[in-house]
Amino acid sequence: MNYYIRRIIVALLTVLVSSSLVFFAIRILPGDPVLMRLGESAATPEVVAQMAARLGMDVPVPVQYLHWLGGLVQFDFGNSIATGRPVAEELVKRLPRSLELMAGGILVSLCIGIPLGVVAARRPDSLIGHTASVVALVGLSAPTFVKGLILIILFSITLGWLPSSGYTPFLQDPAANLRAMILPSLTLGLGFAGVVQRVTRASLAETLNRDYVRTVRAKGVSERRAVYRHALPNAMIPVISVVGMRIGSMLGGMVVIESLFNWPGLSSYLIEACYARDYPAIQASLFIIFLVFSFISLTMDVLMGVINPRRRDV
Amino acid sequence: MTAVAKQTPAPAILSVADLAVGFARRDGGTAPAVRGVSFDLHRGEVLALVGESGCGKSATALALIGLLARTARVGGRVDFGGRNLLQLPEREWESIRGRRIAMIFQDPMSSLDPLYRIGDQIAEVLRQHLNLSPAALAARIRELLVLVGIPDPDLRLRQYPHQLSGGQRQRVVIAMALACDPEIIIADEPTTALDVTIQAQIIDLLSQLNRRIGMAMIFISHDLGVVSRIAHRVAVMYAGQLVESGPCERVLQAPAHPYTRGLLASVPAAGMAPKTPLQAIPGMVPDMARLPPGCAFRNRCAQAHDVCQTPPPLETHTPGRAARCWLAAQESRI
Ligand SMILES: Nc1ncnc2c1ncn2[C@@H]1O[C@H](COP(=O)(O)OP(=O)(O)O)[C@@H](O)[C@H]1O
Ligand SMILES: [Mg+2]
Repeated sequence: MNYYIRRIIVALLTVLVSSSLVFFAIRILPGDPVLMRLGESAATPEVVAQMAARLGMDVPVPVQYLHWLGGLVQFDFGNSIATGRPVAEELVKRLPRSLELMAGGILVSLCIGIPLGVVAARRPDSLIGHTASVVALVGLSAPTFVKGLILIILFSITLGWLPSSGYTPFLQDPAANLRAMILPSLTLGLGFAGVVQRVTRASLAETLNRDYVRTVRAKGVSERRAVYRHALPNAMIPVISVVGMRIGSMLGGMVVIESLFNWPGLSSYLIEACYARDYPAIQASLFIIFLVFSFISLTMDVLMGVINPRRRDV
Repeated sequence: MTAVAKQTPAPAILSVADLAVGFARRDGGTAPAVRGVSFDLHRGEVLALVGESGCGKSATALALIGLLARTARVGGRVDFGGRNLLQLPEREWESIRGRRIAMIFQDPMSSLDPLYRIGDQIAEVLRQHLNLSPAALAARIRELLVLVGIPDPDLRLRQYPHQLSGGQRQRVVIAMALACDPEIIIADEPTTALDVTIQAQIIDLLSQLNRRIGMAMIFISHDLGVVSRIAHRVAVMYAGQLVESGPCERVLQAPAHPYTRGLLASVPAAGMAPKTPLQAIPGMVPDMARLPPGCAFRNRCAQAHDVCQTPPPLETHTPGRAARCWLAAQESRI
């Protein structure tokens, strides 16, 4: 079977299994959405039963699961317990905002991580090389929350250059949208930039010593060309695969950032849903998040095939 | 072989004098790798550099093309085109590498960039040095692939390295080296990584190219059997020094240095007729940082005696032949 078809099937199965785990896990955790909605004191048994029936929670959990699966294949995620409106409606609104933030974060991490990695690999024993690694390490290890606060204090409160919160739809005002994106993207991207820097440094340090780079140098081309046309593209192969694998670790950052910057995306929706024990909303947002991450790592795989001719034959 | 060409004293196109290479160690010291090597390379000549692994052959070769590791410290002179290459700034190297001195490396499986098509990798060196029109460029690439004996060149130049066999990849590397008609090609163990049959084909190709195109070649090998098929002259290296040099047939027929005799005895091929049964030289390649005083080969030499505690000079014992051994000097005097 074709490698990519196999890969897609595995990805879909993974999403299904993890979403199912979520389905059962939230029902085991303490907190009853019906009671939370009604308020514990006011609830008489009849009212509770009525409410449970309306939410489809009066049947056994396995039956609820089958209902949920049935809805899933039609992209029907049910109605929110908190608002009563279809969850899908809210997801369609919020998903693009989170994707935009993630794209910004990845862009920042590549734009910062790759150059710092290149500097550290090309001059491993120089001051600038060490500095690049230290900067990356700080970016990697400082908590997202702290990085976000520092950026807000610096660029928003002290300098007043950028907004510290809020979201404007891109189509309504592109400039305002992008301005509001900068700080959250930076906060999200800085941590991942540390990962990208480390992989780039290690990988490039290795490809710089490869025989084919020596062959290229023996042709009389400039050192720049040997590095940027030959050593670096080869070094990017592990970088892409690590980005694909570690992209999930961005999720934790997203949750913090959306609440810190008041960004009405998917993660903040998930948090609200968790507080309200809004089962359909939790399930649906996690399902979408799993789907997005699988899709990204699949894209990275395809990208690998594009730059690496050896992969095209598998 | 063209015995006439090598006996007329043609001017040297490359002259190496007292070349020394050492590698900086972490502790601040220097690990010697090449210790005062001198030789001349003449127009059209194939000079073989022979010796066991670790004796400094690659370090010598890389010094000649300015590609030693950054930790290397180099001394001596390499005169080429009226300049000392060892003092060339990096910018000027770019017009020599690939254009006037080209290099072929040991392992064809790893010496091509896996991400680029064969044709593009050959085009890179042509674009770097020659100003060809797109049509002329394409024609030249095709011509080179034909020259190095790659069947179906139009298909091959569109393929990636992993789609070619080891022998074919080495032919591509040779094509890249030949691309700009260099005056010198340095081939560092070009066949060591290949099967025996492919090895013979590549040697034949290089030998034939040398006769047809007439570029000079420094051919590096640890195998005297391979060397006998291509070289006009050989220079034998041991522990970073030349220990014997001279015309190929004569050195192989009557080696003057015990080390050369040892190398010959370890050649498996017939035709060379080793006098003793096949055997490796006893003992280990010495650590160049901790050499015994006197002759570096002394502790592995069956004929070592008292005088060998004094280092022997590299001395001409017969016109055109030199050896770094007290015995060779004695024998020729008798
Ligand atoms: N980049 C390097 N750094 C440190 N030592 C090296 C380096 N390259 C070669 N050497 C040392 O120099 C000596 C000669 O190596 P080399 O020229 O590669 O030998 P050969 O090609 O004859 O097998 C060896 O002792 C080797 O360990
Ligand atoms: Mg070598």
